[in-house]
Amino acid sequence: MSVPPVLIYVAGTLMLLVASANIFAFGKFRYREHLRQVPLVMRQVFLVQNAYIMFVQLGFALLCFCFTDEFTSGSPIGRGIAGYLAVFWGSRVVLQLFYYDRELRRQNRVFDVMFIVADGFLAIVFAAAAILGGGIAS
Amino acid sequence: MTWLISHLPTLIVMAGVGQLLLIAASLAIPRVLGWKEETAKLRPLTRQVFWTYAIYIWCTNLSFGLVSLRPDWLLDRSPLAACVTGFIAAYWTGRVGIQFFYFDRSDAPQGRHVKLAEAVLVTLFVYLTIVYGLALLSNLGVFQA
Repeated sequence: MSVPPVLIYVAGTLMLLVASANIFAFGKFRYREHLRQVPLVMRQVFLVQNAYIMFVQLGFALLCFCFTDEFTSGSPIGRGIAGYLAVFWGSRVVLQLFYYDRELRRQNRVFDVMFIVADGFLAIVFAAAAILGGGIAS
Repeated sequence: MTWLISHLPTLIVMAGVGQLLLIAASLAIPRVLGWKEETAKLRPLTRQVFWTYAIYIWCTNLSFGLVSLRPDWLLDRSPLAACVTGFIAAYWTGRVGIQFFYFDRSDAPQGRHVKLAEAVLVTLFVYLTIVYGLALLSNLGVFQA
């Protein structure tokens, strides 16, 4: 048994959606307005971090679309990347549940649930790809 | 140039070590730049997003450092190796550009130590850009490492 390639494609699509949500979040949560209270360099660090996170997520998505076989073939680098992605998205679920402000999550329950489900799905798919690799011979 | 190409695996391991040293040193950045005090002025969500991003960037740099300790993986001339080395090269090229053309350094801490630290940092970014750029060219078959 190995991870079906279609799940890797779905994971890539989800990562594109999560990356694009960063742009949407800027307007919805009025980051720019709130960041006026800190020095310019802090604002710039925030924007650079945001851009880099989106760039990294875009890179992950492209890996899923262009190198689907690497995630399902059991190659060492494919399993290594899958393991990293499982930790990346698994920790994102933990942050969402235990770090982000509860009141704000309650006020935005639909987005909160969507993020938990999406991040949880990504963590499970990549954990399976890392553990199963090329599959178990039957 | 020939020397660089023939020593590319070693240079990649050095790049990995450099990135691991960078993440160790970057643990001091929040204290030096007063991030805790500054982010305390922000609303909870913006503050939490700021720290979450910082942690993920730190982990990304960690993963680049760790994978570079296996240069055979990064130089196997496979499309995946080309993609990964190209991605890391673009990542650090962008970082060099941001350092020179975007960050406002007018209210950065002054002093010889800070200037020296910035010089070391920029040198490392340029080194990483060159090494992963060469690795990309090697994976694309432009030359044999």
